[in-house]
Amino acid sequence: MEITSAQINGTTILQLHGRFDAYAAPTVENFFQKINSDPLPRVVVNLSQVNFIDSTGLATLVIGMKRCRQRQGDLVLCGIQQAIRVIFELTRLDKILTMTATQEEALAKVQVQQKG
Amino acid sequence: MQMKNIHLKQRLTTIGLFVVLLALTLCSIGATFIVWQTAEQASKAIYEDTLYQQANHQLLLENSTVCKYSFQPGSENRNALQVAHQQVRMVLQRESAIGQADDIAAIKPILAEQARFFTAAERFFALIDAHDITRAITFYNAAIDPLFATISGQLEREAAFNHDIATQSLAQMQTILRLAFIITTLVFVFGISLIFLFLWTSRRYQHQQYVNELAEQDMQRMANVQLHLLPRELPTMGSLEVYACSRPARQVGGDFYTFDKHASGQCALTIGDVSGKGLRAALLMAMMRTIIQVTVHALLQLEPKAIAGKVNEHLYDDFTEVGMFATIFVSCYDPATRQLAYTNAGHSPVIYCPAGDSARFLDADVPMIGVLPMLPTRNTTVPLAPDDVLVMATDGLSEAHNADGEMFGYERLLALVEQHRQESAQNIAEALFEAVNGFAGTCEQFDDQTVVIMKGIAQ
Repeated sequence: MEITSAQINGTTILQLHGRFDAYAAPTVENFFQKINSDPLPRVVVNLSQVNFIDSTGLATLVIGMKRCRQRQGDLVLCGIQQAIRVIFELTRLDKILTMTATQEEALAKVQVQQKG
Repeated sequence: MQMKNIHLKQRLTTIGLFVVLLALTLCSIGATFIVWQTAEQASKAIYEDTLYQQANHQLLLENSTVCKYSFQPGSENRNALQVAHQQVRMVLQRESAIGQADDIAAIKPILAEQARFFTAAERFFALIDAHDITRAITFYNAAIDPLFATISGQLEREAAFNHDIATQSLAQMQTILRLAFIITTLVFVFGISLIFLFLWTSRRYQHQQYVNELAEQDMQRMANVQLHLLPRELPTMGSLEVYACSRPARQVGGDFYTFDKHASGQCALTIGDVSGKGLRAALLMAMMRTIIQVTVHALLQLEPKAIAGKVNEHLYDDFTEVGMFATIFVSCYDPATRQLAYTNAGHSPVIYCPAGDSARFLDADVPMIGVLPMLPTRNTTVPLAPDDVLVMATDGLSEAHNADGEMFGYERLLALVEQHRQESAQNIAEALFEAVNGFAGTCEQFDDQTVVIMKGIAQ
């Protein structure tokens, strides 16, 4: 799996490509650990290029979200493909992870939530 | 991953040291060869210098004999001249024998002039013998003395030339020897380092093997403990056939299932999967199992949402601490009504296949355990009439991979359950495992694979 990261207005954007499975999870988790040393971690994970996710991938996203929220930050997902959205719905993670259609919406959301 | 990096670093260091050692050894051999060559050159130059000096000395003797003859004529000095002359010739011939082409070219005219000197000396002696002193002195000054000066000058030049070569070679040798000393010291140091590195690496490797063996043994023990934590007996209820089977992966995961009879006659059946692997997953799984048992026995009215809620309440902090979660599907079967109430906390796949209807997934009602501090659980109820089948599985089955990286997936499981719905609970489970095995082929089982199957039977 390929990961590219960028910074926009203090928010880290992680763009993941390909399969998000048990082999890719440790790399993503390392990214989260780095970000989590920030005082107010704000992360947008762009999943538009992810065509597969397994339970370890889901667990990694939940760990990332929990860590961000523990530090008063947030993690927002965006661009989830339909086939993958089904898995989030199946496990009811769609109820706890914030998801948006586009990266712009995700950026707006993660920053609004901060101010709120 | 980290271990691999360490091994790679060690290997690179060893190769690096070896290359340096090889290069230094080659330098050392090269330096020794140059020193040897230079030493030969120096010793030859010194010898040639000595020969020329000897020749010059004999020439001086010749000249002094000529002078002596003027006031002491006789055979004694004639013989002395003869001897000195022969000596010069002999020395120069020796030099000619060992010298290079340019040496031979230089010696040839010296020998010729030397012969002329001897002839001139003979003439000088004749003049002395004739007592023609005036002519003798004139002849000496005009012929012998310039010849002597020429030959002596040539011999001195050749000697000086060889002396310079010797001095230069010795200086060069000194420099190379210093360099060779440094290189040899380095070879010694690198050699010793390489030996130590080899020893250290092999010891480390042995230690690592020992640690790996211990870890492997631990894992096997843990897998055994985990299997013992699972119920040894299947629950027997007149209206329900239950079958359960768990196949742990090589690296222990966190799959589990429980069967607990309640005082009311109902039975709580759960299946769960703790995220991650190893000791932490196994410990959390054991804790969950205990909390479920205790909760079932403490509840006055058996309710799946209460069980799931308690598990989350007790373990939320622990799960948060270690950054893990667990999915569980808690169900409570009431034989009196043949109803199965359940709460699904993020668990999949659970397949409900009622007799005469198509199979479907029982989706999660709430997220997994350890994500939210308070779980908004609820009960859902499905009937388990005769021939109704409920398959609770873990993602080890749906996420089994084949060699192409393709996943077994949910749809295949759904189709398999429909296909084998008429068979016994055990046969359905075996069909599922067989299909997953056939699909994965030679790929190693990455995660635990667990199924619990309930099938309503006619009483």
